[in-house]
Amino acid sequence: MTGFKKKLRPKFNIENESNFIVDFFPSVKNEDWKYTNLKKFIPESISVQPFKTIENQNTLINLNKFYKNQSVPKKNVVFFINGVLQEDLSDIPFGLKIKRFPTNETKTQSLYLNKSGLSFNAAKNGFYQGFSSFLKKNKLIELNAYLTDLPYLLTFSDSFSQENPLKIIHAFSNQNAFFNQNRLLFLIEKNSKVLIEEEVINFGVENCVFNMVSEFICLENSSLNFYATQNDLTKSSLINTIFCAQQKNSSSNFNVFSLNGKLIRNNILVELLGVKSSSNVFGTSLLRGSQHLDNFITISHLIESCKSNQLFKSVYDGNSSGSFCGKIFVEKGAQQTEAFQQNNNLMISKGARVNAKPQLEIFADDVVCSHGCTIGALDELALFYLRSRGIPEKEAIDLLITAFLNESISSIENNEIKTKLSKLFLKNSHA
Amino acid sequence: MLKIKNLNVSTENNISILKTLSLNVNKGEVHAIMGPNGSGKSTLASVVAGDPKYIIKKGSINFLNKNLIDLEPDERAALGLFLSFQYPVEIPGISLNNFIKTALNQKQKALKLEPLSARQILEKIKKNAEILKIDLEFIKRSVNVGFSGGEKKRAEIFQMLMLEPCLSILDETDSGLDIDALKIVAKGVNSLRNKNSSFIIITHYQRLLDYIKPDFVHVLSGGKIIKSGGAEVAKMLEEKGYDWI
Repeated sequence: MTGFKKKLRPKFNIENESNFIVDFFPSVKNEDWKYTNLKKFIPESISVQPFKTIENQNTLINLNKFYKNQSVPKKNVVFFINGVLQEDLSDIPFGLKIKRFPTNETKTQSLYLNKSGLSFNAAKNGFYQGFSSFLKKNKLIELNAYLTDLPYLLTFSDSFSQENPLKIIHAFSNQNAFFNQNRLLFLIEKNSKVLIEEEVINFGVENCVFNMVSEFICLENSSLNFYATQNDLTKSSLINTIFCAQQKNSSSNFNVFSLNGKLIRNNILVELLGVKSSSNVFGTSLLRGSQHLDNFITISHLIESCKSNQLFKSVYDGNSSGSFCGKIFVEKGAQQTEAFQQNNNLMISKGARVNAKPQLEIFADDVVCSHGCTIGALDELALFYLRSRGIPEKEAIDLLITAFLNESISSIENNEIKTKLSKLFLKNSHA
Repeated sequence: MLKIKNLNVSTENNISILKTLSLNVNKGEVHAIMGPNGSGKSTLASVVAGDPKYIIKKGSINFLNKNLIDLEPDERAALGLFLSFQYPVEIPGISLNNFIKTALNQKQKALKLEPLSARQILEKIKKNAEILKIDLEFIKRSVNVGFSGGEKKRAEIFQMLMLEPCLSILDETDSGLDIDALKIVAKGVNSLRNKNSSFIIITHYQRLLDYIKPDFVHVLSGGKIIKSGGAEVAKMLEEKGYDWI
C-alpha cells in the first residue's frame, strides 16, 4: 500500500494516464491470470473515467434510447450512473438504506468490509491467508479503490421483502473509451432475505473497460440471492470482482450469466466464517465470435459444518475462448465440510478453446468434497435423434445448447428471473 | 412407397455391412425383417433414416418418388418417415413434452402449414397418452433420462403416434418389453395402421408378430435378404431357427 502513493502522485495527474493504469494489469505470468492476457483486451489508449455525473436530462434520453421499446425500470431499482448514485431515477425499497461508507480513514484500503466494525478474522494458526493473498496478485482491486470515491454502503434489514427483486443498474455514459470503476459494499443484516439483480449497461462508445468491485457481508441467518447478467453489446471488457464474508447460518447464492462482452472476467471469492453457513456460486455462459470468458472462483471453508457448491456451464462457439479456475479451500479444523464443484464445457466449433483448472486444497480430514470437469463436443447421436424427428440441424443444435444450459437456469427459484434469462439465452442461441 | 435397390453400405472404417439389398414397401403394408445378430437389420433402419455414420457405396433408396439419399434426416422425417430407435438417446434438459412440440411444429413448418395451437397439441397428447397408458406427468421428464427400457420404447411409440408418419421403422421395439408392454406397443402401432401407412418391423421374435400381423416377412443375413414370404416364415424361424434356411 505504501508503494502506491509514490507511484500515484508523480504520474496520475499528467497525461500518461494509460501507462499508469496498465501498470496495475496482471501479466500472464501471474498464476491467477494465466489464461487471460488482459493487455490483449484493453486498448492502450485507455483513460480514466472522469466521474463527472452527466445532466439528468441527457441521462434520461440515453436511458430511454438504451431500453428502446421496453420502458426504463422504475420500481425497486437503484441506478448508478458512472458510479454515482442517481436518487431521482431510483426507487429504493423499504428495508434498504444507501449511503456513502462512513470512515475517517483515507480511501487507500483495498477492502472495506474489514473496516465495517465487524470481526472477520479467520481461524488463527491456520493455512488460510484470507482475501489478502488474492489482493496481492490482483492489483486491479487496489486500483479500483484509488479511482473511486468511498464506496456506497447498501444496508439491507430484515424488513426488506425478497418478493420483489431489487434491480441494481450500473449505467455508464462513456463519451470516450474510458476505464470505468464502481465500488459497492453490501451489508445483509441478521435474518434478512435479499434478492438482487445486477446489470451493467453502457450507452456510450465501444471498447470500454469496467472494473467493478462488490463486497458482501452476510450476517447471521441472512440469505442473499444475487443474479448478475453480463450482456454487453458494445465490445467492452468487464472485470467483475465479488468478495463475500459470511457469518453463522447465512447463505449466499451468486448466479452469473455471461452472454456478450469482449472480455468477461469474474472473480468470486467467498469466505465461510460462521458455522453452518453455505454458498452456491453458479455461472452460465454462451459465447460466440472472439469473446473471452474467465471465471475465477475461490470458496474457503474456514470453520466446521459449512456447505458450498460451484456449478459452471459454458458453451463456446466460433473462436471464443475461456477458462475456469475454481478452488475449494478447506481450512484445518473445518470438519464436516461439504463442498462440490462442477464445470461442464460444450464446444460447438473447432475454433473454440477452453482451459479448466479445478483445485481442491483440503487441510481437514472429515470432509466430503468433489469436483468434476468435462469438455466435449455436441453429442452426434443426440443430434441425429433430434433430426430424425424432423428438427433441422440448426434448431436441433439450439435445442441441445438450451438443454445443456438448462441445468443451471432451471435451478433459479424466482420465476420472473428464470423466464427472463431462459428467453435471453434462447435468443442468443439463435445468433 | 419405399424402394430400395441394390443397396451397398459401409461403415466409416470401410466395413461392408449391407450388400446388394433390395426391398419394396407399398402403401398400407407391414413388413417384418428378421435375421441373426449382426446381419445388418439396424444398419438398414439407420441408413433409411439418414444416419450420417454410414456410407452408401452403391444403390438407391426412393421414398415417395424422392431420392432419399440426397435428403437430410430432418427432411426425410418431414416427408413422413419415422425411426423408432433400438437404443433411444437420453437428452437431459429437454422435456419429452417440449421435444414433441418442437418436432410437431417443425413438421408443420416443413409442410408449409400453420403451427398447431397449444390446445391442439395438448388434445393430441392426451389422446395418444391414453392409447399407450402413459401418465401425463411422464412426458414432463427429460427425454429418455432415467426411463426404464420399457418406458423408452413406449416413449418412441408415443412420438410415432404424435408425428403420424406414413412409413415407420421399428427397430427391435419389442426387445426388453414384458408381455403387457408388448401388447400396449402393438396397440399403438395398430391404431396408426391404415391403408396409407406402412411399417417395417425389425424383430427377433415371432411374439410381436402375433399382435401386429405382417403382410411380409423377410430374412436378412450377411447384408442381404435371403428369404421372403408371408407370416408363416416367422413361424418356421421360431420353430427351427435360422439354420432352417
